[in-house]
Amino acid sequence: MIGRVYCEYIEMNNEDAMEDTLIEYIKTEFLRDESATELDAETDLLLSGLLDSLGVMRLVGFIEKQFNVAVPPQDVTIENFMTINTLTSYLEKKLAA
Amino acid sequence: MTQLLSQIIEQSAQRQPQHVAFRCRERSLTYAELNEQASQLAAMLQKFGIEPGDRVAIYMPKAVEMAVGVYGCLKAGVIYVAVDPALPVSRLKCVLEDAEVAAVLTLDRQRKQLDEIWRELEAKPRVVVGLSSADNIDVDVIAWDAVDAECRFFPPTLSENHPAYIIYTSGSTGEPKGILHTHRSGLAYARLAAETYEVNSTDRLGNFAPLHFDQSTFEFFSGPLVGATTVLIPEEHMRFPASLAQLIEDEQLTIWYSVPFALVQLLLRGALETRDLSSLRWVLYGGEPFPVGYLSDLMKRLPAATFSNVYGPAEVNQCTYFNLTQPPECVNTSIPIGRIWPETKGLIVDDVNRPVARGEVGELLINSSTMMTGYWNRPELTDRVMVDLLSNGESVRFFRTGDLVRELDDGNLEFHGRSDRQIKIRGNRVELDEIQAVILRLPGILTVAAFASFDPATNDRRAVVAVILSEHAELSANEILIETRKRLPIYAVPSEVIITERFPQTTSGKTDYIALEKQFSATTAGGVA
Repeated sequence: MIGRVYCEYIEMNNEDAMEDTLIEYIKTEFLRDESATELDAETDLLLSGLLDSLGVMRLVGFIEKQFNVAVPPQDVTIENFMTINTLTSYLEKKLAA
Repeated sequence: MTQLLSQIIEQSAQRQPQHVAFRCRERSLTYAELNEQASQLAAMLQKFGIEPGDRVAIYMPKAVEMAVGVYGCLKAGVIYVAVDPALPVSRLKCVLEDAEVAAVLTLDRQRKQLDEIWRELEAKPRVVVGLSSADNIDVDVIAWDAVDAECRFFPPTLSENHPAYIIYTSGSTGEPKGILHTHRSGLAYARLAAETYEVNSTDRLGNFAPLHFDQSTFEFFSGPLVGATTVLIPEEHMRFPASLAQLIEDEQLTIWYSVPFALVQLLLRGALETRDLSSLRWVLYGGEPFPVGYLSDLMKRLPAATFSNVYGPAEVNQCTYFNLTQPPECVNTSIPIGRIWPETKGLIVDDVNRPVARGEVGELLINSSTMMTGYWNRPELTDRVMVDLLSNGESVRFFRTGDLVRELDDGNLEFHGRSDRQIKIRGNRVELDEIQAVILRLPGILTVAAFASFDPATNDRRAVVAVILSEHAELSANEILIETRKRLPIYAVPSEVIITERFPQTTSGKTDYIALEKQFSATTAGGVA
């Protein structure tokens, strides 16, 4: 029982850490004005115009290096990259596989 | 006889009222619906006292309302100004003020940016169409569904030389310049392009280019002229080639037109092996040369499609065409920009406007039924790019493209670069001097040099900026980058800023851009230096 709770804690912690890493990266790389735009896990990365096509490629490159995971082209879709939340859940699935 | 761009949808609505004219994000408008809604919008603009010749901004992401906006303005004789929805607010202000727009057509998604500049606008538009509530906007605000049949539309009397639309592009002084087209030039392009690419009413055109990019006139005018269906590609899809490939398949697109960058992305990251894109019968590309290896690979993936290299600065819409039915075999082949198309005169001249000998490189000058009137409110700039020359004994007004070309033995033209410092990044026109002008205005900058460098990661050019700071200035490269993001369109933002002590100079004391590129290209492999 204790082991299980601990396990969940670790997982949650990983997801949080992943989220923070991604927010930090997008903030420093893509934000026009740090004070003006709020960025959280639910921000629509595509509607807000934060990522252009080159931005998506750079983000994919960063993810592959940072989390040591291969992101094949067919996974680089609107559904997976809509928000930081959708991105972390995609990555969780990917890393668990 | 069709003389006005607005007649395009009026005639198509008569011929095939129930046929879908535009589609976007799961929504469709038939020709009858588009024609009716455009008339209602035109009537509403009239109700607010907006007259023929006034300017109205279309400021929105891809949506069917964009088509209503374009044709509503054209019907009212209003000049529409296509504004990039992703512009930084300072640049947006610059465009809205330069065009002195009387109204803004928009969507709720642009609310934040509009709120931000509203107070700062010196002359405010009289009405904003497309927001669900007014909030801080202190003029009339009308929601799209409130633009209804209530007011009656009185079609104004317009001639074919009436101005129709303005497209803003980079200006080397740091101010964007507006290219002004008339109903005549827009319609001439619509007709010639529809004929050249045999567009018919069964076609489904993919509109990749944003409205503020001149390629979009193909899908907004040529498609509707023949009663075809245009599918507007949402911005999100432009960034996700795998999603884009799915959309092309789902929508069964038959004609595609975009910059090569989008097609290269589709080839490399579109997961095309999982898709059936055999509906595509014609693939047009333009804006910059297509890397031949990729072009050949893509043509092999889409064997049923004819590929075409389209050439023409936004000032003339299009002026040459070149079709490929077989993939080029050797990667060293140069793909010509092709032959001058109908209703168009081309001259290749030296620096004193004398025609060069056949086979020599010179600047291409163009006179065409599809050419602009001039730059909006910039007569001196217009005079600089227009030149009157004798052609077959009569005086003809030519546009200087600034592009260097050479005529090949078979009559096709070959592109040989620019005569100035304009570069193309992902098909967008970028003036290196404009980037410099914008950065030079920041406090703490002594001098700046922008240059193009090749980015092996994307196989594309990118803009790099080297800066020498004033004494005691404490700016970081990243701070400069953040400031440029506020002032330039996203594609023109340099990918890197380098702070340095001195620039290499030519023997005459000018900045040596070639040496600069060499010096820094070795250090620019990574992020910000």
